Amino acid sequence: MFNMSGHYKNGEFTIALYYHIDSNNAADIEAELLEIRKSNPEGKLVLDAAKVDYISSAGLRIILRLLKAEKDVKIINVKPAVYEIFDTTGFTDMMPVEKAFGNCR
Amino acid sequence: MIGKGANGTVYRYDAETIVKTYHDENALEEMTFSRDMSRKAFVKGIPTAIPYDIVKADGTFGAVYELLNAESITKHIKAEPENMEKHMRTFVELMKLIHATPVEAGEVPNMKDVAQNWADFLKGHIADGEWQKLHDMVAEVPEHLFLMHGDYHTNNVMVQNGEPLLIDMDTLAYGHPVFELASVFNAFVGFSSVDSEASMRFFKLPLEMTEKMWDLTLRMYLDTEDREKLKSVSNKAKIIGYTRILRRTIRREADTEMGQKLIAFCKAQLSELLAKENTLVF
Repeated sequence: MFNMSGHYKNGEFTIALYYHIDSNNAADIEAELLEIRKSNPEGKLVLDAAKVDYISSAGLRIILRLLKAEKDVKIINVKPAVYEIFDTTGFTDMMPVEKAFGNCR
Repeated sequence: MIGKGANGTVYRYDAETIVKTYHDENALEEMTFSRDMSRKAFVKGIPTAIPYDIVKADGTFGAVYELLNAESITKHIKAEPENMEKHMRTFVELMKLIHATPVEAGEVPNMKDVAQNWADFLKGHIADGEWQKLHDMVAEVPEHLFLMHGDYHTNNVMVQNGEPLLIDMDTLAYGHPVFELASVFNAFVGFSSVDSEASMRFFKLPLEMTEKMWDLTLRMYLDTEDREKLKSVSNKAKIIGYTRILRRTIRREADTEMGQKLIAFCKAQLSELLAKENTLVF
């Protein structure tokens, strides 16, 4: 358990992501994330990446599956190094990915 | 190192990524093109390995991709031939998804231009009347602004956790499905035309099985059991398929006995098929 949590604000449901997402924990994170969403299905899904330092392809696959299921997902508060991963892999062309405040150019 | 091919070597970078390097140190342009095609497909929603960046190590450029924990459709069929239809359904459904993905002209190469070059190369190699008809038939294929893979066969579709993933995107293009079906035909049947062991070398499956895979591809793709329709579309795909093989063999293997046999076979097939069909469109 990662004790992930979510909250509603302005009609959006935001879930804070775990700090390091790779193949070792991706399946557990995804299960927990889906469980939280299942209990809170209303509103656009927002993933808060403020604490995320690294996301591997296993983590990106979680987001791909969410995109397939939800169509409308955005990621906010993304640190520069993590934003670079989203940008290089094309995720910034597929969905809104917002940099963390203070890291916007 | 996890694999070595004619053009490059694949290394495992970490638990989740690989680096595909090219033997030719001047292959940066080719590698960047391949990586860009992968990215385009990925962004458009085609399930494929996640493409990362181009890197340089020890003087060689490499493209970084997600490491797939997956096996090809070919291997699944080899392991459980009794489930061939189920696996071919997966193969065909992915092909339909690719063909339903719109693109803008210029985003990826136009396959019609490539096929026109194949056809035009044959001037002087086949009878003038046949060449003119072939040229015109390709020229008359309407622009079709939807993706196609260009080298679509069961070795290039991996299955990871039940999800099909497309690999080897170098030949990504747009164009009419007849061009894709031509490449599927060539992989399953065409390249084995005078050498039945070719399918064993390429797929590690006997020709009888890959012929059945071609038959299933057509039936499932066209969603019909109408024999006339199946025969006609098969003929159209074969016209492009044999055109490509003939050009390739004239350029690369004309001086070998097997090459000569294949050239004669393709010419005879083209002659017969061009007499039967008047359009490549279906």
